[in-house]
Amino acid sequence: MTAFTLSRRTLLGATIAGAFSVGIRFSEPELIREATAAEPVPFGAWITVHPDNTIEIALHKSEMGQGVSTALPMLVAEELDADWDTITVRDAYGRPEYGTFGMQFTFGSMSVSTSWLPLRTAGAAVRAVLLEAAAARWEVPVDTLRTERSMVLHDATGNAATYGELAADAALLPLPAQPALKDPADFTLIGTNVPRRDSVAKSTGTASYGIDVVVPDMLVAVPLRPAAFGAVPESWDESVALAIPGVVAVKPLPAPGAGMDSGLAVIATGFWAASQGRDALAPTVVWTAGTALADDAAITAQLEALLAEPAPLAFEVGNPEAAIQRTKTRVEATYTTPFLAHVTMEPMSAVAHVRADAVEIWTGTQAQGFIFPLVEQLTGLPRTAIVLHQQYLGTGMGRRVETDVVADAINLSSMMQAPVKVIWPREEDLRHDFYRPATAHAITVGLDPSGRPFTWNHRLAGESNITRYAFFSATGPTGDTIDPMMVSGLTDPFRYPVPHRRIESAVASSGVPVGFWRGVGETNNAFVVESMINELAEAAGTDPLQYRLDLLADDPRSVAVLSLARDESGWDTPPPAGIGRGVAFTDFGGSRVATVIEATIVDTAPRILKATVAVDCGLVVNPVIAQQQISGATITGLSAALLEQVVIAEGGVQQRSLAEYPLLRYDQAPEITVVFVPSAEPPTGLGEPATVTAPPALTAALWAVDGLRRRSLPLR
Amino acid sequence: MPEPVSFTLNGTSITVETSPETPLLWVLRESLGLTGTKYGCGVGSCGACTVHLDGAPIRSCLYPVASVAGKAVVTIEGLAPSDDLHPVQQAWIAESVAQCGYCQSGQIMAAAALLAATPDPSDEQIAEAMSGNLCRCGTYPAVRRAIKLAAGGTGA
Ligand code: FES
Ligand code: FES
Repeated sequence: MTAFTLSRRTLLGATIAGAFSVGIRFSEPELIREATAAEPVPFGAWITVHPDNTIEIALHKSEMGQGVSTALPMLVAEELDADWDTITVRDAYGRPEYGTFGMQFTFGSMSVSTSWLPLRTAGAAVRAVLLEAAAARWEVPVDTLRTERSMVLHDATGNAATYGELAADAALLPLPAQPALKDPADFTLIGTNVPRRDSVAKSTGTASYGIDVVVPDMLVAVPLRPAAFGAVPESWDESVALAIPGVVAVKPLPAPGAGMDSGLAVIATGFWAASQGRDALAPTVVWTAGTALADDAAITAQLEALLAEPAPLAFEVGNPEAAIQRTKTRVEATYTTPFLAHVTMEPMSAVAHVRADAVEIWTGTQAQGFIFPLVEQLTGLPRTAIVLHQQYLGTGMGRRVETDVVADAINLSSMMQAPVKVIWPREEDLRHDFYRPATAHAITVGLDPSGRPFTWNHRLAGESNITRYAFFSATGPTGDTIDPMMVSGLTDPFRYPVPHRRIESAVASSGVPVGFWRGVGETNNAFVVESMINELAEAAGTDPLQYRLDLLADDPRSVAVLSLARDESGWDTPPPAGIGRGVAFTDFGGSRVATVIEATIVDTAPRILKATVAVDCGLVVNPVIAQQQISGATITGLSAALLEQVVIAEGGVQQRSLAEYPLLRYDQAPEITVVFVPSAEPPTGLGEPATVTAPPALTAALWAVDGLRRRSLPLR
Repeated sequence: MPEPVSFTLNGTSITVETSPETPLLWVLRESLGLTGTKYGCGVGSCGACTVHLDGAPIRSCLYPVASVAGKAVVTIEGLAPSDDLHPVQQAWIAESVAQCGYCQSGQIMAAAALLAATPDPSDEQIAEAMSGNLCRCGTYPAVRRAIKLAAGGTGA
């Protein structure tokens, strides 16, 4: 073992003191900007300067592993010239500045891109007033001053003052709305491998997740929801649960939202007793019949029926019907994808304490903005009476956009008149998720004489999120209601130039609840589009990477990413016999990603050997965190492609435990090389894009081994 | 009915009053307040609950607390022998392994047990030791680098 040492005391002092599990809300309305020297001085929404010269930075996004608790404060600290070693970070709610499109949430790979200008501007504005305050104090021109590590310095006189010493004066000055921002060439923090602020806590077991929270006199509850979606408990024998030592009560548990399942809850002094009570109670419950389709065969039949008929028009350009008649070479294919569960590593959990005049909630959520209205509605208490203590999220994946477990905790705390921690046993978590929709696609592409796609006719069917989230819906060109996320990556902007395109999308109604899964609609659509592009390249007799380069020749950033992937993966050197290489590309919210997978087949089983991922996400704020995101997203995508499928049987999810829902393991994971195209463009998203390129790159690699097109996932 | 169960926890002898079939995981988390050991599946499939029992890595969700009577249990909270972090923890930080972090106590305990028994493990030995620990964030390549770093290699 190596002898390098990091002292626990130093590390805990430096990092955990700044850890972010304590939720502090800004009081509304606008904060008072005047302060005496002995008090912390707030400047707008993002920055508070303390008299001891620590700088407190507001974090408005959820830390679910993607590194926002490091990357976002870096944006502020860079422009402020704050001393990174003495900043603190705290969760923040309750101001419009924290919203994205009017609502505070963390999804869609948007945290850094939407914060890039506001957070840098905030840092630069505060730096500007601190400089002005120093200039006035020392009676020197502002442009003779400089800033460094939370200090203003005047080299000619040797004058120096900390931000803490200047803050009270600076607070009296108006914050400039458009302060000058640094030239990226002058960045000292952005673009460097600043260590993650959460590394120590997450390597010592001290990071606090919702499931870890302990509140005095807290009870622990576990839900028992139906095996079949939509079933309702009619009768049950609570005495068998109450006979378990530690079980306190059995309560009917309301549906946490429209279209969600009600059930029962066993409340006890601890999880184990509650879970034993749940096991005893379960066989005594008589449920009504479920409301979903019975099984995968019925779901597949429904999707096939939808594909057989004309469907609502989501997008049309050119005249695809006529154009297809003019093409000689056509490629036709049908693709299907399964329902997927999120399987956040931390099962759903939340603590709530509802009192007559106040509510406190402890949970890790991606949906701060949804929780406050939900709690208002459930308790009738005003927003000012609600305190959210954000915790670390034991994986987000899109599952923690939902607030069902928070509703459970609020409902049960109200019923029990005590603080209640709700923990969903893994079985409940698997069987009452909001699944990535299963989809089916029928596509016909006609090629022009040079082998380029001339017309692309694509009909898809699957469950839609707009069934629950109507505000996401849009109107198609002929007036139909459509789900833009269901067709994302198929409508415009389409990443390849195709003059004639028609996209029809039919919404299925299986009764299986669906939601947002890392990558959302693109997890389905990129698999289909990129697989088709590989098929078209074959039809055109062109190398699939070169085929993409030819199609994307007008976009230099796409060309650069594909070229980098080509070089780094050794694409032009044929792999050894028995090993195949496949490529896929995406432009996901501006982030260009090209993934090359090397794979082989051992006794009919796919074996993933190597992944090379080239990325242009604009300027990379923190290379280590960016690398983690791309590498992790690649594994998530490969796990889905190879292994994951929610099985529907008897109107519900058949799998009850992680033993029955395999995820990619260490020995199945490839070596991964991640390379970034150097860029000074504004940053774009990193959390999702590489999730969607991995599956089609894998199936293309396997095709290169055995010549079989794999058009249905998972592969196992 | 609750019974006293005595064992050594992170170097200290303790006795807990609990129903003897309660899994060690929940005794650690709820009776003893050591929440660094995580619940992920309850059936031995994920490794989030990994602790050391007489030095060997075990799934604490599968062990009734009575079965550890008289034995030595070490959790993530007791892994570092002193004020300095354990070399595996230091390697984890140096290689920026953790993303959401939820699985990482289990990963670190599995890796520390591996290196205690096999100071210079081969790739196959690492794969065998680590494949019981799921990570939804996909940190496996970083886990590999960190184990190699802790074992004295380059981390490559
Ligand atoms: S909780 Fe013990 S192995 Fe998953
Ligand atoms: S770091 Fe998130 S599950 Fe492993």
